Amino acid sequence: MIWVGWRQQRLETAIAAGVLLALAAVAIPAGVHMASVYAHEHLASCVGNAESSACGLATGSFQTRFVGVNLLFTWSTLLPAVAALLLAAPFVLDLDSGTYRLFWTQSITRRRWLAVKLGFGVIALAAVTGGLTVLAMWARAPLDHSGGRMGSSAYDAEGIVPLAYGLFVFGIAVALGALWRRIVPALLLAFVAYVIGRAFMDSWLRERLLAPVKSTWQLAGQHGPNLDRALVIDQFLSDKSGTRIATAFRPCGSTSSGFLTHTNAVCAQPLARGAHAYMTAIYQPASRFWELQGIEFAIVAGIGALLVLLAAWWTQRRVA
Amino acid sequence: MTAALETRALGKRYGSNWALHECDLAIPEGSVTALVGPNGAGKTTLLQLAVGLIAPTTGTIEVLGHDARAEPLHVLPHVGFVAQDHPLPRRFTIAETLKLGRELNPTWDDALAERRIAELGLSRRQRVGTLSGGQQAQVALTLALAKRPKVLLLDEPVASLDPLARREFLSGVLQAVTESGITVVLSSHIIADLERICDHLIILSRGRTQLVGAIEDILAGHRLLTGPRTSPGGVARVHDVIRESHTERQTTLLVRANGHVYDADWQLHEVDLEEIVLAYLGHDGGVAETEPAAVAAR
Repeated sequence: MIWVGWRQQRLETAIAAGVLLALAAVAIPAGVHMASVYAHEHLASCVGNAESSACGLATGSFQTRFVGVNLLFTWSTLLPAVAALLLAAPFVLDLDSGTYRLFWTQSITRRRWLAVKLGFGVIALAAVTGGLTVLAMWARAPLDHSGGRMGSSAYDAEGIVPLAYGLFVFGIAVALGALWRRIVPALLLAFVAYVIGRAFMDSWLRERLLAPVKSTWQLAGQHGPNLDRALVIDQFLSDKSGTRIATAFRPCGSTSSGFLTHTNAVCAQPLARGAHAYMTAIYQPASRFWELQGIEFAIVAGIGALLVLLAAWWTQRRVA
Repeated sequence: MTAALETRALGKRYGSNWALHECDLAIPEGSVTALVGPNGAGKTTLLQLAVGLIAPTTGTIEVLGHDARAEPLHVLPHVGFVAQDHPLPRRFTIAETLKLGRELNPTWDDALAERRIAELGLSRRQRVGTLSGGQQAQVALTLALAKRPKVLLLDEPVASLDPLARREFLSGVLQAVTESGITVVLSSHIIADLERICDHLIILSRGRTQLVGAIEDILAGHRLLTGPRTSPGGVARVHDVIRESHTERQTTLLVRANGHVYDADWQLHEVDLEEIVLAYLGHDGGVAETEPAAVAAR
């Protein structure tokens, strides 16, 4: 069954690996170039150096210059889902086309067939998502060093979360495939479920996985926490206790990427009147990266693993 | 004589509908049995139950003395199964399809498989998806035969084939039977084909067995009676009337004779298998239940 399992999924594995290689072909030269610029302009020393406006400008222009790399990795976060759909296809296709009847009437148990088909899919998926993680963590190093990796294009491409989403989509696809035995709707619906799940996690649940940190500081004179690398959930003018002051003030830049939080403070300053103006930030500090990844992995990969088991159980017991 | 396939009170229900109900059968080793019935009669259900693809709702089914669901590795290596529409992985070449058989079956006979492929005039490099329906059926049969099975179960293997491919496929089956004496159960609704290669018959209709027995005995036991128009009352008291038809002046009865028919009022004719099968399939009344012993006593 080992050879058969591999024979049935080698095309899909090759396509997924090909997409990863194409990504690497763009990301590796870009990463090398970016790293040399980062070193050449001594930008590493600017991290956390909020006072220096020269640093702020240089970091800002670096990040603007390489926004394309950032965008590339934002799109690369789709790779785990695409790979999962590809690698779930051989399993669902056997159920759809009826060839499972051929396999289950050879001299092997249904359990063995399930173990090979689903096991090989998961192994190949882990390899592809692992490749993405390594590539992203290497190529994005300068961007992560200056801007942190709490934004989606880093967070969803690095660490263990890509594997989690891969398993999530794989689980949905094989479970729908087992119940429905129609490959096209099963894979389409799995992708739709992925988009909804990702959007929900990225925009709402992730910042709530751990109780965020709330920090209030006086605008005149005091320096707030360094939010360059943090996941900023909210930032506003407040009184001393951190209660929001109703104001027309709006942050000048994005608060989620952590890129432009310097500018927020700069923007706010002319508006701040006297020593009574305070700024409050609610955020997940960059140091929580692995903790958040661990929790998110447990939830998302856990759902995926349960769905894979459901597919296996259903196929073992119910499919004829 | 032991039974290659034996069922006891076997039933399979889908929702509120019994696909197979109260089925008692014993198919003797070495026989070639035709499983006949209209679509939805339960033929596929019976064969899938035999090989463990589905589980029975009631009763038991054993192949070579084992339950395929409970002990798949006591049954599957000895059973060649060709499912309806003979599914094969379309992306595989023929060589890869044979490798699949070799990988998944401990008793695989590579020489037999290669010989059959050569005899069929197929190239090992051809992809299964590019073959005709008849060729795919032949490849699926090759896969089943090269397991060196003791029992061969074929579910509507020729339904989608043209007459020539049908003939060639059945010749392949017949050749395997004469070479190795395996037990074959073959479902179909094309009766003429079955008559050529089968020695036993099971008629299934609406989930129940209508007639079970050796074809020889079935032919000997049925007679067509014609006589002046009358009600079949007298005959029906002694024999089972399977079908009656009337014209203005004449009555025709197809009966299963219990002993000889001695009535001077009736003319007796022999009746062929197709007519018997059609009579049973159109027969709505009390089902002529036969005992499994009728089959076992070949």
